[in-house]
Order: sequence, then structure tokens, then C-alpha cells
Amino acid sequence: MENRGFKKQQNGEITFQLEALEIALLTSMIEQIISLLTPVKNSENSDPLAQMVGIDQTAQKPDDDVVLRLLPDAYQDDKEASNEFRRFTERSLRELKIKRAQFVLENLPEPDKTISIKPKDLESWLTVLNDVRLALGTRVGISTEEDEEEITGEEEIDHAKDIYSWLTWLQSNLLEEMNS
Amino acid sequence: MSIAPMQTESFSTETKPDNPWVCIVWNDPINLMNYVTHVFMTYFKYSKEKAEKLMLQVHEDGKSVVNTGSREEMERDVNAMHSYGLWATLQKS
Repeated sequence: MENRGFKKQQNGEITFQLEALEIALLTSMIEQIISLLTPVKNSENSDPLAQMVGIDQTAQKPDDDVVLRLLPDAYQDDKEASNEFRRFTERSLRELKIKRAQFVLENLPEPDKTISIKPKDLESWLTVLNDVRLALGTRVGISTEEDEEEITGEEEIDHAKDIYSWLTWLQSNLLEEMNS
Repeated sequence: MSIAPMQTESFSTETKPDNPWVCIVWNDPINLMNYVTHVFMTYFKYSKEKAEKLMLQVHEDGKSVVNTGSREEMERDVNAMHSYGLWATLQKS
């Protein structure tokens, strides 16, 4: 990949540039994450007081592999405890992830203009990029560390793997500059 | 040394392990090694050495106990790990 000017400034901010296509890709994928994580409205069972304190009595183990990877079970062999944990934590976790995703979405740079990420905002960038990688990686079935390299011949999956590799490259660059 | 019976009784109820629960992080093919290290350093405030050691354990052994404590504390840790996208569970040690 060509150099996009990843650089850590003296004030700790990290600067870089993205191309129009890259920004469009990120926008579309972050929007998908938000829509995957937005809780399904269930007005019949909703208890406003419970919702206010982040309890969701209807929270269940997600059917979708991608959503399950973003919101995993907390207990390996205890379904009841896992569900109980979800009722108390899942809504806030969804909201936190959505909030971070929206923040990154709103702060995506203009094409080819330098973006400057403040140290306090880096955590949101890293976790959102990670959520997008988790979602895409799970969807295309990356289950071993070699899978990423493997070409399937199926155009859509190969394309998704290219995007996945690009996201990996972006997240790695941010991490490297942070630790530099 | 003599111990009065009443003391023995109250002592025995307090000798349960202080840290009966563990937070386990599991290996997965998506999370980057330096990202996992970063999370351990940021959230647990571990040194780089300790964070890297735990990360390598996750990578090579498939899992690592990253913290121990009460059930409530471990639930908090697991929830935090999930917020970072790490695959974590808690269980009795």
C-alpha cells in the first residue's frame, strides 16, 4: 500500500489521508455496523424504567454470527448465566458501540485531506475499525490466520477479503503510530 | 498457638479464595496481536511486558486468564473486553 502520510505529531495527534473510495467504503461499513447493532424495537415488552438503566429483558443470544461475534456470550458453558448477563449489559454495549461508530462516521475526513485524530479519540477509531474487521471477517469466514491470504475464486468473497486486508492495514498503521 | 473455637469458626468462613473467578480471553483469527496487547495495557493498565506475555499466551495456547477477582469484577472485565471486540468469558477458577 502506498504511504498515506501516517504520522504521530508532537501533540500526540495522528494524521493521515484517505482516498474518496476508502472513505466511501468506511462509511458504508460503519453504517452497516450501526444497523446490525441497533436493537430491534419491541414496544410490547419494553419497560421504560428498565431501559433507562440499560436493562433489556428481551435480550437473547443473537442468531446472526456477526452480531454474536460483536456481542459474545459471557459464559462458555452456562446458557442461563449468559442470557442473564445479556439482559443487564447488552443494551449498553450496543449503545456504546453505536455511539463510537457514529462518532467515527461524523469525523471521517474529506478525500485526500489530512485528518488529525486526537489521542482521546483514538480509542474510538481503533475499536470501530476492529468491529468492522470482526463483522467482515466473520461474514467471509476468516477462521484461521491463513484464511485472509487464501483466494477463493469467488469474486464477492475475494473482494471482501481485499477490503478486510485494507482495514487490517489501516488499523495496524494507527496502532504503530500510537506506539511510536 | 491456640485459637478459640469462635475465632476458628469465623476464620473458616473467610478462608474462601479471595479471587474465585477468572476472566479468560480466547484466541481468534481476527484481532491483531498488537491490538490485543494495546487493550490489555489500556484497560488493565498492565505493563507492556505483561500485556505482551498474556497476548502471546492467548495466541499460542488459545486462551489466557487475564484477571482474577470477584464475579462482579470479572463480569465488568468481560463486558469491557467485549466492548473492545475481544472474545472473553468468565468462570469460576
